[in-house]
Amino acid sequence: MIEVEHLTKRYGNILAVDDISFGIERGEVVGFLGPNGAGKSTVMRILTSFIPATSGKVRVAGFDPFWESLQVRSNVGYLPESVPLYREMRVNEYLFHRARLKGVAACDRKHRVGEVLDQCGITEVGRRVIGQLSKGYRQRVGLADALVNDPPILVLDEPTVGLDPNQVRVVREMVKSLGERRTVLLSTHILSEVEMICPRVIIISEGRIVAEDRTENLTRSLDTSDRYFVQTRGSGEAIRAALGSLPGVSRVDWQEKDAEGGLNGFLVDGAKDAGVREKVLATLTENDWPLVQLAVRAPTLEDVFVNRTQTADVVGHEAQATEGEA
Amino acid sequence: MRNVAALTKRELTAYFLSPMAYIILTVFVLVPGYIFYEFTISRWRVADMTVVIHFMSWVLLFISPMLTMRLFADEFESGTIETLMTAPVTTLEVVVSKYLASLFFLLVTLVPTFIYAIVMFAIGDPDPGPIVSSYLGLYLLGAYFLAVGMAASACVRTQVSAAVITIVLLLLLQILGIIVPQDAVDPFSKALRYASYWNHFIGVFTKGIIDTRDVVYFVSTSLFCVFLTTVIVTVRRWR
Repeated sequence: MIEVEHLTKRYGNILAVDDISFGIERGEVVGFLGPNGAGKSTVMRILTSFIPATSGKVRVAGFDPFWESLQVRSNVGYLPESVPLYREMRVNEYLFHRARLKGVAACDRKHRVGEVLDQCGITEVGRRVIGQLSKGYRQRVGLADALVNDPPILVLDEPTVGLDPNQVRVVREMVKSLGERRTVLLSTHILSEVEMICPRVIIISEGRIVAEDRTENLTRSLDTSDRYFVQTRGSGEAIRAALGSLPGVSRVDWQEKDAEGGLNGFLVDGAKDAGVREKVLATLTENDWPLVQLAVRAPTLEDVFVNRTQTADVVGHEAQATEGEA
Repeated sequence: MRNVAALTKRELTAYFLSPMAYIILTVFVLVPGYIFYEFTISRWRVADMTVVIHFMSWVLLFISPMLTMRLFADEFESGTIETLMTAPVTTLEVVVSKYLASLFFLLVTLVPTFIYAIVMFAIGDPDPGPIVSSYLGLYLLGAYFLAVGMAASACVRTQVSAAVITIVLLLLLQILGIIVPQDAVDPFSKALRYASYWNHFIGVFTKGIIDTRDVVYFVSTSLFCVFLTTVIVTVRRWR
């Protein structure tokens, strides 16, 4: 549904998107992940034909966003990051207007608007003026607008930003259910969100793709060592030394130092299948340090993200430095 | 041009939902009304609307920017240009719709002032020709102001700067027509005189003359500004 090949976008001298390529199949929900200013919004604006690309080939639903912009626009529901809405209009009025613009037939409009109002849970604010709505409601009005002509592709730029936890849950559930029939590209910088709703993730940093895979593959790729959280009572220095000297342990991170009641917490990294857990337990019993907590810490997408975007950062700076010298 | 009706309706809604519309309507009825009553009727007792028409052209110069400043500057300021231009509508459709809405609003502003003409016919015996041509001229002049204002609004990000730029531009265009000597015959002075709207309105429409050349001047410059706005809006997205 979405094909991007060697896409580059420059704003004057600033390189916002640097030669990225990816593809999204029909019916996929893909998370677009990256720190602020990574170029997520730029890519989305190019896909929705709001701005043209500097170079590269883009196809959305089989159309070129620049030359066949109107066809692309009719096939894409877009929720921009800032959720711009006409503040002086009423919700119903606004959605009717948008439905009309997006070519929903006059006889279907009432039905469609009713449907998206219901879907986004905003039926009760239908008669309110948009400018007086809370951020959460406005976000959902924006989403309803993106859905009103039932487009096969949805491009959502940070759909959960600025919402309270309950609303975040509602929106996430909604996106999940939308993904059953549609192709969804969703950007966010909240990692847990991607893990929850997107089977596939593209991580972008400084305009380049630094990782692209199924979410579970990405987390698995980091899964080369075991990590445990050990909480115990006793002299911190001695415990650290003892844990660090265990065979197979590569790193001990002292996370809680002499907390209330003499509690000490350590993050222990050890080689996989080296039996680190048993050894830790044995050491603690031997020295008579009471075990309070021993937990397995599975690597999260957050680790992948930090890992990949930090490396990219370093590479990016080097590249800039050489450019500056030249 | 499939979406023009829908877009124009939305622009008109925006006009009538803002307090600015009612302030402008009130100003445009009351201020020339005072001039009409105080001077034309009470002091001079003449059956001639020229002074009121002149005055209204001045008021138009100051209120048109307030009608057009919102058109694009607000869309860029609030970001709604992004939702607007990612809906399946063309830039030309958007520009034409906004212009049509402002033209309609201009008509709504002018119509209540017909009351002065009616009063004049009731108490005196004015020549209907200059009044009809003056109103036609006022409308063309206003349409021209609105087109310039819309183009200015497309260039900037805030409404205030749009209004200021438009007023400055219109005053410059007017002064151009006044300071260039009327009897100068060199091509440069003639071109400058032609470029200013002043000599296409004052002393022509106000005297009851409907000259095709002047009608063509107002219509073509307005259309040019509409075209220019389309280009500006497109280019601003492309940068």
